[in-house]
Amino acid sequence: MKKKTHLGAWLKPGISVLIPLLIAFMPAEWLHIPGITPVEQRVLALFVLAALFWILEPIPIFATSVLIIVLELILISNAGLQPMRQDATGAALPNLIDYREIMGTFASPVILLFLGGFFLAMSAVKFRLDQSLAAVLLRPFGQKPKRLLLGIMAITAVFSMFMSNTATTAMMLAVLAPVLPLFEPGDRGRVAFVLGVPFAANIGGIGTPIGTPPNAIALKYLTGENTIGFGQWMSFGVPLVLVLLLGIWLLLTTLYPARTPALELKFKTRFLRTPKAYIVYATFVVTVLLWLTDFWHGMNSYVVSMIPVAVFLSFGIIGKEDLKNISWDVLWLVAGGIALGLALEKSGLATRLVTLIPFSGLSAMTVLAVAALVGLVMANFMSNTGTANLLLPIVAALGTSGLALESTGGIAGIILGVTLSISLGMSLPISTPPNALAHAGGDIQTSDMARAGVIIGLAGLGIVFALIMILSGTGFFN
Amino acid sequence: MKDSLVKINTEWLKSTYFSDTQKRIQLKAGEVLLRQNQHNERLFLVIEGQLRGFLNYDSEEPFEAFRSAPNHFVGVYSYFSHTHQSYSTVIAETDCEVAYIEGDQADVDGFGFAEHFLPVVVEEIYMRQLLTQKMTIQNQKTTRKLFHSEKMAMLGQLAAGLAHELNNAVGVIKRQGEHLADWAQTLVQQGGDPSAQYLFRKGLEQGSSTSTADARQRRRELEERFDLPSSVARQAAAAGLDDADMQSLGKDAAEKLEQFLPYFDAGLAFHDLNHAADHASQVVRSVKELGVANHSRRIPVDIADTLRQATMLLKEELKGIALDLKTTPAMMIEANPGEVVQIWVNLIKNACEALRESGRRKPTIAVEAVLKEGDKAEVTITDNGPGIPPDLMPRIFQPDVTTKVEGLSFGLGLGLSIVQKIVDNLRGKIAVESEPGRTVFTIRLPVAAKSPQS
Amino acid sequence: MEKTYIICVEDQREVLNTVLKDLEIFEGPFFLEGCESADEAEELLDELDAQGDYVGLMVCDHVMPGKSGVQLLIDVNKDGRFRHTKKLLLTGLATHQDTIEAINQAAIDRYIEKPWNVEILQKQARILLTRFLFDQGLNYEPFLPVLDKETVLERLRRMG
Repeated sequence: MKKKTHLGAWLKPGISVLIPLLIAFMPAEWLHIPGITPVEQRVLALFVLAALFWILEPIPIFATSVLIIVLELILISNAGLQPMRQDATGAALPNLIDYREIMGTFASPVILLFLGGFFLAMSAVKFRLDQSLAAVLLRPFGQKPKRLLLGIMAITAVFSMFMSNTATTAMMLAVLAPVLPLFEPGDRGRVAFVLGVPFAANIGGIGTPIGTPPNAIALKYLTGENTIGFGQWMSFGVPLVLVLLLGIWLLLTTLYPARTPALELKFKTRFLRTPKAYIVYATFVVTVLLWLTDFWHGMNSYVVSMIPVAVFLSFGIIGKEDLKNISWDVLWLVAGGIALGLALEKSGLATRLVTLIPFSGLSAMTVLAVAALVGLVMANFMSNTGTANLLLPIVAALGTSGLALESTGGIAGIILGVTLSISLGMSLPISTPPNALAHAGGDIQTSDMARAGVIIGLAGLGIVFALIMILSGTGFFN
Repeated sequence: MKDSLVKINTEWLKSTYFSDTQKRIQLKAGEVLLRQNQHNERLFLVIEGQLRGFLNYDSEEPFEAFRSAPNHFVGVYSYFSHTHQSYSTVIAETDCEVAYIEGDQADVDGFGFAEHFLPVVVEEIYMRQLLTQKMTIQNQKTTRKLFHSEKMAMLGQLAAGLAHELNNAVGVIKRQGEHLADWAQTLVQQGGDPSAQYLFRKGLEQGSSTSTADARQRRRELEERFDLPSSVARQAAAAGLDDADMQSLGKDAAEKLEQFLPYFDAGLAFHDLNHAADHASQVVRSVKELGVANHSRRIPVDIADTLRQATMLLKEELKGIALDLKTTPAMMIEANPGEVVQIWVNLIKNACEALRESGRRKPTIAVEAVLKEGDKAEVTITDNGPGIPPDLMPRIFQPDVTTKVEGLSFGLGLGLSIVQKIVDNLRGKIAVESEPGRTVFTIRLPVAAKSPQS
Repeated sequence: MEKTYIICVEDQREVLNTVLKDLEIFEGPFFLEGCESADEAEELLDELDAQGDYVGLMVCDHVMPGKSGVQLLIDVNKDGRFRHTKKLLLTGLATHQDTIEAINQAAIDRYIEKPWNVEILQKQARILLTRFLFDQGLNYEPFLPVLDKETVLERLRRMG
């Protein structure tokens, strides 16, 4: 146990608070941003505060989100603190943000889309659909470790498209737990299995808009002509997941080949055949089908996502107690990111900052490469959602920078590229909760994870570039 | 058997019916007056000597039915019943003279013969019944005593066997633990670092000498004053490190402690191992003493000496308790001194525990030894504790280990039955009186002949 | 930051030392405290509660002078402040009746006989502490190295 000095205990919160305060109260000229308004200066301070709080985590990251929303309401909303609403001469400040819009982030469509996803996942777990489905789906993969690993990874990825990455990892690691001791001592194949699950869960999140929170944040910036539907997302997301998954499988089986000849997974569960269980199965299938066919029936994915909420609550499949178990922290974490993006956009700070960067002579691909790399590195050391919260509003502002964006298919290409790259950050136990879970089992070393994780991150980045090129080449973004 | 229910005028009956000197029989001791089932039409009156009636059933021992002294009637049943058969064999205990009458006697004095003898018949029936009852009670008592002693003997055997086995095991644990401790100490000493040596010795010799409450207080001090992390501070506080110890560790105390506290733990482990082994063998010894009568040699013992020894042994337990010891000099009993000391130790220890548990404000134990009735040494041990719960009183001398469930210590469970065992062996008596605030154990032991008369 | 404590209550000092030693593996993420009587434990509980700290697990001896371990746990069970605190009873004297009483009245989570097997004690403590963190709604991540993996996985899966 390391000694915690008083200095160390106060260092993180100290820096995280002092620097933003400094930015907020220093004379505007010192910032060297021409034409910056008082509101923009405050937003800049808020942005720095958010960045420091999400990176250093002096308080839980979802608390940071709520803190941002509340500070925005007080400092830059039209219903905020009176002195904050006027300039030195007493005239009302322009560019103040409507407080209803800031509060509305708590219930913005992407949040509700996620809520619908949570309801599907919770009811699936409650009626053991996850376990029974896993049992059925794993059967064709047999007992040979190599094929079995592919099966486990495929199922993990599919599940994590609809469930949270963490819950999927937890479920699959639990399935795996009784099998791990069957590996002969010293068989590195064990490492492949333990790494395969969190990696597949991280990757699987890419597959659907509700797979992982960064996707939802991206959707928030893909509006107007850039709107991407649920089915559209899956049309490129699922193939990307497939390619990445196969790549990871090959990598893991090469790095950590299994010597044990056969492994048998045991499942105790069967499909429940109660009326409620059937309602769960049917709602699940219908919701997914509706998501995929929005072009036909006209309801967008946000509207569709409210259907399972109503069905499950009406039939008592999700009760009062279950509501308490909803991951409100994830929803509010996303809401904070949306509110931050809102402030950056509405105050005009995002546009102003982007104009400061000399983009002339830079190609859109270079910008994407830099932004994606930054996203990947950040996501390795901090929460993926936090990374998306910080990076995507800036990236989205690039659309107004006058940069030539044809090569990436417009700003949508860059936003997608960065979002997908963020999900590739998985080289350390702290990178994602699934990684932490796998590492906590004690079967793998951090170095095992880092070796495979770095290769996946860099190779994945290349594959994501290729995807964006193909998409823009095929006119997907038009 | 003097108890008589019916008023019988024996003298009058004697002079009226048994005056015929022809109808007298002289019996030598051992001669038979009547045999069981013999035909008899005579009613006998004992003039002199003792007779006894026996019943013979199958092959069993003859069973005593009655005893007759002068002025008692014999043959009442066979005479008055129509069977005319004697139901018992009547044998003279001493040389006897009996008078008798035969067949139906004429009325005397205008009253019927039957009326004159009715009281005699009733008396006879009553006496027989009384005898039977007394013998049944006697019998029950004997059976109970036998049962108890058999139980104790069995428990004793069991205890002895158990004690033997456990003693061997505990002995090995203790000896090997000491070996290991010696070896570890040598290793630590060769290892060189003085802090490690110091902490190891501290653990081994002192054990955990700090109470958890004090340790918690100290832990906070250490955390604040020496800036120790919580887990290190907890262990350092438990180790009882004082400021001097901390100062001697120098600047990087936290790092050093983290490195060397395991040495204290190791020393403490050996200390606790030893302590636990001692405790186990003490319990084993108690169990053994309960079961097996101690046939050791008895010598004259001064009660006052044994009381002083016992209080010495209990110095630690008696801390904070006022002890009032009054003895009579040179009061000697024949006993094994160790056993006598044990009586006092067990009783005083119980009192200490009772006082400590109750958290009484002025805990006092009074011990007084005086000579009573000229030949009894009476020792009273009085405490002002909470008293023994009334429901427990009938059972306190039983070797009932389960009393521990109710929060009583093992010592009371077994200790008192050991005390009773020893007192019984010394042909003494133990009694207890208890009410809240006053519990008195009184032990009386017969003093040896040469004790001074007070 | 609030601390989460493990409190061991045992009147015999040597035994207390052994219990604390066996539970030392949890020290770091958790905090360890020893008490020699039920009264002392109750004082400590009040104190920790006043500081805003949590008590994740109580490991109690059964037979103690004064208030027994079962009675202490019964009282803790009734105390709303420690609703989620897990309770483990160590006993050298397990009669059927005591067991029933302890389980029914004190809602004991685990019952371990003396002399205990250190691995069993640690495993059970691990499970109970993991449950406490989830029941109390605390962030499990800082504690992950000393938690029961199976329990963590099950609890996380349930969140969907």
